[in-house]
Amino acid sequence: MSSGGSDELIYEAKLSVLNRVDGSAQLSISSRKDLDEGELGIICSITGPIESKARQESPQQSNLEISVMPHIGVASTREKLLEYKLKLVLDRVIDSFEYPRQLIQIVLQILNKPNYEDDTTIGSDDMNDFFSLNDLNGCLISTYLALIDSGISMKSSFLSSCCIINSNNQLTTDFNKNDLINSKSAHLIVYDLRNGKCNNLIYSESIGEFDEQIFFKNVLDKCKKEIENLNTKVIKNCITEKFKNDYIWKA
Amino acid sequence: MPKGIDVSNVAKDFELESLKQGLRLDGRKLNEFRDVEINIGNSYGSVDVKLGKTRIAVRISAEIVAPFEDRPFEGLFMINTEISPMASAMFESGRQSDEEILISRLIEKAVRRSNALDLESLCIIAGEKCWSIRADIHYLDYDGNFADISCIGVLCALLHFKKPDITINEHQEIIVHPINERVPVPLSILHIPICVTFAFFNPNDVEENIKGDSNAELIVVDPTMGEELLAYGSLTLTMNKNRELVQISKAGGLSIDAMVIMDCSNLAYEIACRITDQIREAIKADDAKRAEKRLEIRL
Amino acid sequence: MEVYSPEGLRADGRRWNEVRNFKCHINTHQNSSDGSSYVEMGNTKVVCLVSGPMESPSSGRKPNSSSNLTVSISMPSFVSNSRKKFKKNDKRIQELCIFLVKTFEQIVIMKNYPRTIISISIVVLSQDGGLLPSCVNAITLALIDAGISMYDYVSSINVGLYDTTPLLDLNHLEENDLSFLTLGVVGKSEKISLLLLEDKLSLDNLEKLLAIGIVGCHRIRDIMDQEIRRHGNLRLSKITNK
Repeated sequence: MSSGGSDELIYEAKLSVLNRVDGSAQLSISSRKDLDEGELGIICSITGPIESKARQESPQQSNLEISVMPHIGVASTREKLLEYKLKLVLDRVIDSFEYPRQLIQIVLQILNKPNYEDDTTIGSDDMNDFFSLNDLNGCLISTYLALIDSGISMKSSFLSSCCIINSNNQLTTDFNKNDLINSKSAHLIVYDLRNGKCNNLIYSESIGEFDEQIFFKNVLDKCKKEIENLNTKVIKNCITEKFKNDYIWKA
Repeated sequence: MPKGIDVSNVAKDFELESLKQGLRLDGRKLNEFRDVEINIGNSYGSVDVKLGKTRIAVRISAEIVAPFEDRPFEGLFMINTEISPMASAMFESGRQSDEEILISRLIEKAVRRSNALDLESLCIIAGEKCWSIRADIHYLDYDGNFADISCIGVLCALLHFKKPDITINEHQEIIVHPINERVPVPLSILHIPICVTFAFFNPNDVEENIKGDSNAELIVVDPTMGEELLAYGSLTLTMNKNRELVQISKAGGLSIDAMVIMDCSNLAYEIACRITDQIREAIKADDAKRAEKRLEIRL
Repeated sequence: MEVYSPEGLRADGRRWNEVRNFKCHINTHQNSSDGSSYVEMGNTKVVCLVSGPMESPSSGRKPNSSSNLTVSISMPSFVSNSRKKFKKNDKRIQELCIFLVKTFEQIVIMKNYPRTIISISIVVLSQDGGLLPSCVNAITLALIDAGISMYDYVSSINVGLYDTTPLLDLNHLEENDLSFLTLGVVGKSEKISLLLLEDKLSLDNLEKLLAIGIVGCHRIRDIMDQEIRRHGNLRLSKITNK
């Protein structure tokens, strides 16, 4: 179990949590500002490369089957959209030519959601698209960890970060109830990493009204910092621990 | 079993021989139930249960809906038991295999049909508004015996869950009070059914089992995945602490003498009592923790 | 209408240990299937058709694939008192099918029929309690008619508990009111192949019900055996007389 945080969020990550799959990771993101706000808990499992059904086969590349299961209720169109977006990112990152005609099965189970999602006083009924953005953030990070655990070849490391611009025009990645009330826009940024530094922008999604300049200068910078922090403080420790555990049999 | 995990003959023979000598691959005795580990989460009705390596997460949610027309005094209760490929690659997403259907029906009979949750207590305004309680079981890791762990998980989560307090004003409107305003209300659980699954093995030939008089069949409690794949049938008994059998399900498989079934039910009763106590203690411990936390905040 | 009167009579005039009118015929559909049977347990009427052993439709299937036996139950909407359309994927019906497959997979000598499938289909004509027992009995007879090797009969009956009195072979009204066991017994032994209880029952009453259920199953088995032998003798006489 590796935990740590940037200036704002507390991440807890653990690898190899499940027994029947090739790779798994459990991630929990909670707010440092507001410890009672609950956490976003996601567990990701990866099985693959395995034999795929004839209709799913692709002659030179691997095929990705992604399922997102919500913590309450059955999977709906909301989860389908999350799966689609995940596939957009993962298709580029996973080295699919390494595993032709094979299937990589990724299942994400959302275990816990922050408490503000149930709080109707902040207009949470209208904020579903924002909550999805936050979910996507968690899904991407936990999928990355699970991919490392499963040993599937990737073209590069990648991590994501989600931030909002609240009503006082402040940028924050650690949002609680007060930040969400009348927040103006939300952004999800995914960078690939090289030598611990953010390299290229892989995926970006924004909802709401925002100024272009603020986006290109402040939002991207803030997310870059968050990602690099996350990488050095949490991800590296997590993976080091896994190797320590795996190598206990080495003389 | 779904998506054929083929077990080699060597593994089959090894397992059978060890069972004949009273040994199981994980070191348990034939009549030993695995240790149950219950982790209660932060929000009400969220529970993680571990039975050996088998792991599930149960989440309870509630919303207000209109009741069924033919049952105006009762609330609604739904259990979702969809198994995803996360538990094991054997389970396909989307299609329900035979085993999934059996588990789904088992939980339904054990928890819903037996009225463990009192549906009449969920009624708000007869014929118009009632609570609809939904239990989602997320199967995370499969090492045999999803049936028993599902039952334990759902009951634990139901006992832990608290629905928001409501008041009905003069205009027949329902006001739902948020949890931080008014203390939420626990559900009315009438009894705690616990499922215990037995798996059968045949040390002799089929003919001996069907025609012969010897009762040499081997019965193990709480099979792991390896044992489930090799077993020739299983029996699931659901009992509560009041010495009541809530349901029995023996779907074919090896034929078993009636006296052996009586022995199994006595063993199941002991196990059910033990687990019921364990669940109650876990809930009590969590209540105490929450009470402490509330005191701390107030101070 | 009381379920069990103080004089010891049930709503339909039976005593506690009396089985309903059990009628069975085999070889009812000679042309449309390899084996067929028709079973009446009181007002519950069930037709069973068996086709097999035959080549499996998906010939690319692995030789050791699990299900060599398939059961499908069709319940039209006129079977019970009130007209009710049953969904195609009704979980209860699917569960019954799975139960029947698992029961007969052990009883049919499957090693005689490798790489083939046996397809059993049941049509329910009238449902008045004891659906699963009638299906089990009908399948046993139809499999015998089809000439498929089996180790022994499987006979089935349900038995319920009214207060402290056990009642054998329940009809629909009794099933709704009482908690009951459905038992499937192999041949003349006391070995139980199928056991199903769906409502609450005190543990102390289990032994009593099992004992009475086993006796009831043996009685059903004797009636089925009688009918099989009668039919067999009839066909034998036709052959030898010609």
